[in-house]
Amino acid sequence: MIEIKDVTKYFDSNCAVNHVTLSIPEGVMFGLLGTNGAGKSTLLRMMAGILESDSGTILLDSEPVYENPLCKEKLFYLPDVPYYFPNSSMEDMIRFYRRNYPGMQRDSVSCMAGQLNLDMSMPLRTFSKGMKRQAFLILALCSGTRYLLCDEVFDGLDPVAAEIMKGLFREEMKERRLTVIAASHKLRDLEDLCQHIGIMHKGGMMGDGSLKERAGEVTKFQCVFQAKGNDAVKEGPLERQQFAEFLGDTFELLFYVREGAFTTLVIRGDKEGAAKRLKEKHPVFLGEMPMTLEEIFIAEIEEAGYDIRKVLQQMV
Amino acid sequence: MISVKYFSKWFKEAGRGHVTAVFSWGAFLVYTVFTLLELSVSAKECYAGIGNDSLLKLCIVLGITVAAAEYWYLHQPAKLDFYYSLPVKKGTVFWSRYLHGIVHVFLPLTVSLAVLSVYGGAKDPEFLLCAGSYAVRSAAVFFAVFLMFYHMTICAFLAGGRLASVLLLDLLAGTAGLVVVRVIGTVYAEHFFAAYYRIPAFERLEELLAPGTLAETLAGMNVYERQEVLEYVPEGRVILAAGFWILLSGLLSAYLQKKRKPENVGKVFAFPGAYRVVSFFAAVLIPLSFVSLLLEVTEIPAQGNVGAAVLTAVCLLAGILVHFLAERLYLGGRKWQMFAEGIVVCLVVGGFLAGADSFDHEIPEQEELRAIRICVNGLNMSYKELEENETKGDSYGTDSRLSQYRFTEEGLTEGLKWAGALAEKQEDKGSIEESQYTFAVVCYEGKDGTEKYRAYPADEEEFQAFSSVFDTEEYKKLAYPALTWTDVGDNRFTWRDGVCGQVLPLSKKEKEELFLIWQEEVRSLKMDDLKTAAPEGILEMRSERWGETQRLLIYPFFEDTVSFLKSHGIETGKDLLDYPVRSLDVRSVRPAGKNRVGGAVMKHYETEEELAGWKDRLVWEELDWQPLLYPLRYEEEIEIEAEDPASGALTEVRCYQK
Repeated sequence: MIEIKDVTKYFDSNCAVNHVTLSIPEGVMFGLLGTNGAGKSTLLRMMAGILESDSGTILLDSEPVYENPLCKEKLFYLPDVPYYFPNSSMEDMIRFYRRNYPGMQRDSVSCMAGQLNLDMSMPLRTFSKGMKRQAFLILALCSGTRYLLCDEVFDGLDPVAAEIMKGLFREEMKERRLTVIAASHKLRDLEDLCQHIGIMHKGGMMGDGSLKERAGEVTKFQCVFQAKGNDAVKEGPLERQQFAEFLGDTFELLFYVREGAFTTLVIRGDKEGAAKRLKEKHPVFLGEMPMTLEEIFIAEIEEAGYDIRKVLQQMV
Repeated sequence: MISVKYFSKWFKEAGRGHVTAVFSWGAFLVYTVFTLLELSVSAKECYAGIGNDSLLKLCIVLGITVAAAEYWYLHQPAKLDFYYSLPVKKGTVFWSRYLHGIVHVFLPLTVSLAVLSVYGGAKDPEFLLCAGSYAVRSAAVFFAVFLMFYHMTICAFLAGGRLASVLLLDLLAGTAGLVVVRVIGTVYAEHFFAAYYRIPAFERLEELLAPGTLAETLAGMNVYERQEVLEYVPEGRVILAAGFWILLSGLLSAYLQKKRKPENVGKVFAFPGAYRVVSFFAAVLIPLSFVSLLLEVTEIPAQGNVGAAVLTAVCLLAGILVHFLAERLYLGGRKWQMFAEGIVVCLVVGGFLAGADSFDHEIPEQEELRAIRICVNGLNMSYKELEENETKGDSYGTDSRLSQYRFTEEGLTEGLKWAGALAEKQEDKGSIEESQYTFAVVCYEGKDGTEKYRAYPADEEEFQAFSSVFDTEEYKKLAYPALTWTDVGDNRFTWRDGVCGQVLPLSKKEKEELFLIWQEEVRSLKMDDLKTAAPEGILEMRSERWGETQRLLIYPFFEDTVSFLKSHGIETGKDLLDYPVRSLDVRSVRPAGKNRVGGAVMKHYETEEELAGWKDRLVWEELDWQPLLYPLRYEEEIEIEAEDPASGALTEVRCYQK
């Protein structure tokens, strides 16, 4: 378990991480989301023991990480631009990592590299950006550590490679209860993989927790309304406000968008009651849709007083 | 606590790329091969270790480059993140690299010195006797030199955030001491102190503050005699200074590596303190150096209230300017620092001003002195040396005279009186440059081992007053070292007057008799006597036993000596024109006047009539020994081509006109 308690980090007078408190249970994939400069990488570097926090503590299995080699043997940090020795190949990097991570499995690396058609004897400098990313994700997965810290985890991967990598992540997490903390500024990268998530903005943690718990009281509806009649919904700038007023105090409209005939609504409150209320508008079609990560967190974030749409706009 | 497991693992890791190993072993291989070649050609003139300038430079360069190779990662953010994310302490990475660098210099150094010492011993049996200890001492000395620069560069790599600032810090550490002592201290002393000749404390300070100078002293670069070089062990204070540098920079490195934050890579300095130190030094040293430049190139008088005020004001203004420039370039202003810089600048300039009077007029009591050393420029020296000797330090001629004329007895009493009189009158005469006559350099040697050097201007009257010292027995012994010789019967005596070199056909007893006569006449010699005539010739006395030669000047007023020589067939007092002279060339150099170049006139004489006109007018250059007491016409350089009748050889003799 990783416990982050009231951690603050300043770069000169700029507060990069501001009193962040967070608990990451074992065996989950934790998505650390945020815009550029939100403090994700700094928090990740502190969790990896690279940077020392100015205040607060970071504990990995109840032990401080910073300057603690025994503790750091349990984690593998993969930065957004991985470092490799000049002219080294994947084979060379395996040999190097093996000296530092005794659990490093060469055969697993070889197997995964085969799935992705990576030549382990070729110098890494000859790999494309995406291939390098794949190579290091494989090395990270096969390091045998219990914790994996990845910055911009699937950045640069094509959709096929990204899906294969996600599959490999799922397998590893299932097989050996691997805990992954993945920082990204792209919600879509983590949407189908993360069970837990934390959003950072301007150094602060805006919200975190289990997706299932968060999704409990929020429902996404997709509707088609009649175009004519008294119950018709008129198009215009006041459309969202009209809907909010229609739903009243019992239900809270969190998200509203109209694309052609389809209207998408995210509503907080009793799922059945909300559907009943919407039916009063006599929709031609009313259906419940699966929630995206973005939609789930809107409620929590907006409560914190942030203009979350602006934040999310940059993350999607 | 760094575990052995991690350390050995990271020691191997430090060797990745083999940059240090290839560079260090390669450099020592090249050095060994070239020195072996040199030893094979001239084993007696080549030093494999101590005394070898190339090895000194190699160790300095290795100290800097090996540190750069080992600690380059401190300036690579990606590599730094990579290393620090691994299960290892920052200290393990740092110290394993530190040790890796040391091992890859110490091993090739010792191997190289061992090989060269064995080969040198085989080539030179004298060296064989001390080859082992020489190799060990050399290894210790050059390893210390390497460590000084290695630690210094590591500090710079830790404190600097960018490579440019690393270079700046390394340069500052390497040269700040030189600037303080040579550019500021010495130049200020030259201009503020009228009696300045040299200050030994500055030389010691330079050894302490300037690692380059310290390394030279440590490696025996200032020792010239072969035997002394082979047996050289640095003085205790030099070893202490080197130890201080190594320890201080080592401890500083250890502290900085602990405190250095990876996020500061890319900033100008990794520590705000480093910026403060650099800006402080810049704001103090640059203005003080600027004033040094002003003193050297302008006529601003340092010895006077107006000049002092101008210099202080210029210094302060320059300091403020540098301070603001530095703040503008890097951080916001801190007023206390500017005040501190201003105070230091004022203290330095004010210190020199305030100390000038006591420096110029200080005369130690005789009880405090162990000896006094005096060099009177123009006494017992040629005109050429008189012209070459400088009033401001580091003059070989003056220094050698000072070591020759060291008085501890009656000369000390008389010399102190004479120097005291010069010092008292110092204020009336101003600086030496204004004096038209000559100057004297005095070194007061204290009983505690301190040395105080002073240079005083002397007019003709004061110069003549030196006779009180000249006429003492102690002065004679120092000026004429042959006076202390005994048992000269076996020595070879040769008479030289510029053309002939005649070996005296004397028996052992006659030689002893001649020497006794000469000694008596030298003892009774007065300074005033030297005004009457130039020497007639030189009696060269060579001891076959000791391999030493003394040249006894024979003046015409040494009547007994001259008469003895004449009675034994030596033609003393023979004029150069008494020999068959083929030609005489005169080169006169005179100022050609304002806005004109040239001024050299060459004249050639060869007819009997022309040459006859030069009779009794020429003095052999070697006999010009009192340019102030018996001056010759130095504006003319004369050369004659004369024939030695005994051998028939043609000789070119350089001389002056009386």
